[in-house]
Amino acid sequence: MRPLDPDSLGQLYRQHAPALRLFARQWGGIGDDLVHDAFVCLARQNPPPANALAWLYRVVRTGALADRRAAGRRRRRESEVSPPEAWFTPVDESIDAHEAARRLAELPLDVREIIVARLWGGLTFDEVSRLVGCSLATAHRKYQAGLMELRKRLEGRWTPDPTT
Amino acid sequence: MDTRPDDLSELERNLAALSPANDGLSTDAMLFAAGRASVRPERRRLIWPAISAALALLAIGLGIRLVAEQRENRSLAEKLHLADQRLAAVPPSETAPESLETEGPAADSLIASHRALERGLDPWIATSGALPGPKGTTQVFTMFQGRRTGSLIDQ
Repeated sequence: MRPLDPDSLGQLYRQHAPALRLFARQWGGIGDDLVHDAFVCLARQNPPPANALAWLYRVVRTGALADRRAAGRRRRRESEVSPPEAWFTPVDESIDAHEAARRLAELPLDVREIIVARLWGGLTFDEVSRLVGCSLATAHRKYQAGLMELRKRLEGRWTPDPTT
Repeated sequence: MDTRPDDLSELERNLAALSPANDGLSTDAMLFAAGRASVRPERRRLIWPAISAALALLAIGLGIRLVAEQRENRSLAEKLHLADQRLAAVPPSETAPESLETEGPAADSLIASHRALERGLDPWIATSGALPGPKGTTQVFTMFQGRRTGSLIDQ
């Protein structure tokens, strides 16, 4: 077995780095370094992990938790924390990106991380439950509860399509 | 709660349609860093752990040696202490230096003659006359001593 070749690594980065950074940002901070380091670490894995995406999310989460625990870095983060407005690229969508990000940021962290990993990370519920260390049912329940909470908070700013 | 599953699915779809910001993410920078990390020699990474391990072993060795040395010193000190106690337990009459002191210098030695000069000659002559030896020796010795001590004999 050989490590991931640069082409595959680059493709994986282009495809998943933005969502991974969004995931890292749920713990505060910019998240760029965590994502960068996770990919560099992945490049050195020989053999590469069977599920590279889930592995990357696990590495980023571990790094984010470690950063959060480090008191010095936490203090520094207070001045560096990225506003939720920067989480999504503002485009002409049916949901206001800034408002959605702000409402998402109001949810508890354990719910937010599940929603981000599932919705934007594209992980399956099984992978999400392993990532956050809870049962499949709990991950699913928290995800549903989080979406319902988001829906309530976005009331008036988002109207479901009556045809669906 | 009046939330329908359909609403949630649509909300899910709409949320998923939002694209996470990708500003500041550079694929080239990541690939460059990954390339640099992949060619870093493994040996260099082992240098500091090896040095640390060697120093730790050295510290442990020196510590063991120090403890052993301290034990040895303690046992030696105990032996010396016991020897001192044994010496103190011996009666003073049996000790050689004290018996020598009580005997004093020989009657025909220079020290004895010097002491005699200090104390007076009469007791010394009486003592030296009592010295054992062949007949006549005492008188010759006395005269010899007398000459050495000056004019006191002639008087």
